[in-house]
Amino acid sequence: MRWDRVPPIFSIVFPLIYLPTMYYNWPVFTYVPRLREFHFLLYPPPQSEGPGMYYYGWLLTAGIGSVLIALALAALPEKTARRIPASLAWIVPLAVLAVLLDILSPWFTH
Amino acid sequence: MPYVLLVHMLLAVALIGAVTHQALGVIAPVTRPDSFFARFRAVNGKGYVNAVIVLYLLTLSLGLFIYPNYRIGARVQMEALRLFARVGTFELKEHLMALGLGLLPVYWWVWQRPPGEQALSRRVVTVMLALIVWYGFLIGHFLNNTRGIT
Repeated sequence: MRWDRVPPIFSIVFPLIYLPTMYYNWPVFTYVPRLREFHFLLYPPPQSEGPGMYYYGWLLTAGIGSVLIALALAALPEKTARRIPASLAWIVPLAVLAVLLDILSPWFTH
Repeated sequence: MPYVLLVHMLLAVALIGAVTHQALGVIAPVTRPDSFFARFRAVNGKGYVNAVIVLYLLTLSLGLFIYPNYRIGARVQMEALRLFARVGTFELKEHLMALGLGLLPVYWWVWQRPPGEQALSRRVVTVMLALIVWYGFLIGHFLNNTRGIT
């Protein structure tokens, strides 16, 4: 295991997991702020309970997934792992940002 | 809650200062700091790394703590007033903060490399982090002026 490979791989994987996590709504937990209640996984609260907050759960989903994948990829043989360029750690977030802007565009054209 | 918001803002100011010094230093390094702007850039960028990471995590943590008040207060009112673009700017802020969180490990990593190694990645990642922090700061204050958190 080359521990110094973990940080760049984490940064490559994190946005790749975060994007589908927020788009398809896969939170590890849901927080209902009006009731101050936590629910495991996705919990769409009834209207009487107010809005549910999924953002914390998305961060945790992406964080846990990225740590696991980064550890797994860092354990790859030296020759294979060296093929993952560190520059992907900023190229991938920029690409994900472009997709996020497209997803968010209805807010600005509403 | 206003006190937490105030501390959140003060931490964000410190973070902006640190990451802006570092970003300008890495974009346009100087050898002879003979003006105010040159002195602003003539910093040892590596010395800011841990401070930026700690400040980012602290600022984000307080933001996450305040977030429910925004969600059931300010945002509901902005939606009622049909200020959808403003809500959208905050949505973008939350996603940018997440992307910034994901960038922190590689940000730390590139600054641990020898100066000639990963120079482009160091430059781009630092500037990206600085832009994310600036966006978060400006949008946070813009929306707080629209409808403050109580």
